[in-house]
Amino acid sequence: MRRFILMALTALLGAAAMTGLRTTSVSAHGEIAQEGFVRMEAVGWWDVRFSRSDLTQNDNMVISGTTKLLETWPSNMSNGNPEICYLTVVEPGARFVLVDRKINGMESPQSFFCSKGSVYNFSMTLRARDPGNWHVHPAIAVKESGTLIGPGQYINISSSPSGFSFPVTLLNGKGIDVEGYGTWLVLGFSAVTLVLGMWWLLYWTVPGGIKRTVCRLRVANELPLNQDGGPAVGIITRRDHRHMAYITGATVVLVGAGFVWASSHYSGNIPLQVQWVKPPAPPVQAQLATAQATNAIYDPASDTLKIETTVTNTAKSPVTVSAFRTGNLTFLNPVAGLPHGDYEYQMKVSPEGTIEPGQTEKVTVSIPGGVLRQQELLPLGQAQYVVAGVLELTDAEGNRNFDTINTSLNPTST
Amino acid sequence: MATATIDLEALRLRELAERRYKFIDRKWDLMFWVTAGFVVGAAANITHLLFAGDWDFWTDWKDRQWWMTITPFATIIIPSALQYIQWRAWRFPTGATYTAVCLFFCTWIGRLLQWKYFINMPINFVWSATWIPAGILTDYVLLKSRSFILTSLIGSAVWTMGFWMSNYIMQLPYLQPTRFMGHTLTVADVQGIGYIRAQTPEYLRIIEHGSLRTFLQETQYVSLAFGTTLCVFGYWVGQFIGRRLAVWPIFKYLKQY
Repeated sequence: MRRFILMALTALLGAAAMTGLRTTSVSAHGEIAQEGFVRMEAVGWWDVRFSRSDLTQNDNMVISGTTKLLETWPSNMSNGNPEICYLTVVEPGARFVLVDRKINGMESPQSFFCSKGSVYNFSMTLRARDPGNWHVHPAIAVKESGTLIGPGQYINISSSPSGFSFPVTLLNGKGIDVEGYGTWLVLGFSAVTLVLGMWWLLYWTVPGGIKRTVCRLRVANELPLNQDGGPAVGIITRRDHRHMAYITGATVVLVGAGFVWASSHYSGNIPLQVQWVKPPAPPVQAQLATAQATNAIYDPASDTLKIETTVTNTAKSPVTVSAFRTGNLTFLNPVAGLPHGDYEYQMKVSPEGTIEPGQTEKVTVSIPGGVLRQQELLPLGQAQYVVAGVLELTDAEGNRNFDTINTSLNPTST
Repeated sequence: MATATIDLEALRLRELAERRYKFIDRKWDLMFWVTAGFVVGAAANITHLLFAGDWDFWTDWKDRQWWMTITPFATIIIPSALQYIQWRAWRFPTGATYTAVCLFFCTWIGRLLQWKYFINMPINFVWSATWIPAGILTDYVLLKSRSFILTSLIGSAVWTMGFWMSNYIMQLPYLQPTRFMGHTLTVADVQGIGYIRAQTPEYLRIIEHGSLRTFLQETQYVSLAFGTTLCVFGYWVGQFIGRRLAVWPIFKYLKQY
């Protein structure tokens, strides 16, 4: 018995110690969990910006950017036709609270109707909740496909002496803090029901009188199932019936009175809402050029992925291949800009220079294989040997053109 | 003569019931009820999570249609089995309450440790429903009727209504309307939007789905009636588990020796 008590105490201490293991920094949350071809073909991300990286509890931060459901959306996801989407944030738990979300300028609190090939300019305002250093990504969840994650950033939240609050005003004008609203009603009511339940159980099971379970087993075995022997046998007595009536009565009174009180105290309630929206189309982008990928060659010896593309300049001024975006990565032409952040890298474009108006040119984009392998974006050994992404072309005035390209992947050796 | 025979039989049974065992009683009782608590709580929790997990997990899933239809069915199965086992063995009308109390501890330990202390989800978003009032009322039906058929019919209705009324009290504050992101939403909807569940997008919610839009908009009461009907079915699933998978194999085993 002493040994048992010691073991129980050790287990309890262990459990208590584990409750102190609160996380303050988490970085991995499935960024590369999905197969490479899925991340390449499904969604494109660009211009993702985090307005701040250091916050105090209750400060707001805005994540903005653009995401596109690519024309190359895989046929084996959402039957090749995504229709319901949800723009969200991937973070390690509810470290932030989402207080505003706009898609193409429209407030979108819940899911939205989406379609393949559509572009969504978004902004999400997050209110800092939990102190710590958190890795945060924008993400788009697509029904019957899963959540596809965009580029992320570490955000530091410092604690505030006043703690966190999530203020909201009800339609009746009353201000509430959603963080703790209704908690005591839930805890209090649950606790009272537990008292009633324990009262019922202890009455029957605590040894004493004739309530010993071992003895009852012998008697119950000799009685038909729908009989208790009555007061003569005494395993269920009139006193038992009376006592159970008291507890049942107390339960009925508690639930009935609680129901009436809550119905009047929280009057004017409405059912849960399902308000899905269809965001308007974004402003039409300038059509500067068209791009068509013709081949993608991965050479393990040089560890380089080369994407051969035919670009036709349809504008009136020269254009430059400025970036290639795939999955949540961006590869920049050094002529157009230098990488910054965890998800931007350099690429080589040959021939270098611009493509003149009306000219069609074969352009080869070379991407370092190490980055792709680290992000598990090279779909080697996967179900589709395909490379896809968004090729960005820019003219001298800074107008930008985003073309979705895709082509088969051909490694030079296995 | 017949009365005397019955009285003698009752007297014999009464003596059996009142027999005192010096050492085995209390320890056996304590060991049994505490050990069984883990098993019953786990069984009830698994059944609950398998069939009605999300509906009972988040306030923004606790709707007036599916929560009330699915959850009573999912959660009557183990109480029904325990009602049979405890009534059959000891004539205890405690199976439903015992399961409800075990489930109470299981769910609340999970919510507090995993959801509140480990990842700091607000407890008012992930609170667990209570089945204890429904359990007491259902056990009372068995005590008074001593019939599993009547308990399946009346008790299922009592279980469903007891579950709805007792949990509606706690859910009501979260059905208050508010203006959020330019839309009229409930506080529960605001919780679901605000406290981000990265891998549980909003469109996964199975709430207010379907074409149940007639009946003068009183869909909740239709759902409760349907939930009761399902609950009767669930009750007999539980009876099957209690009779055929729990008690019957024990007797089969004992008869061998």
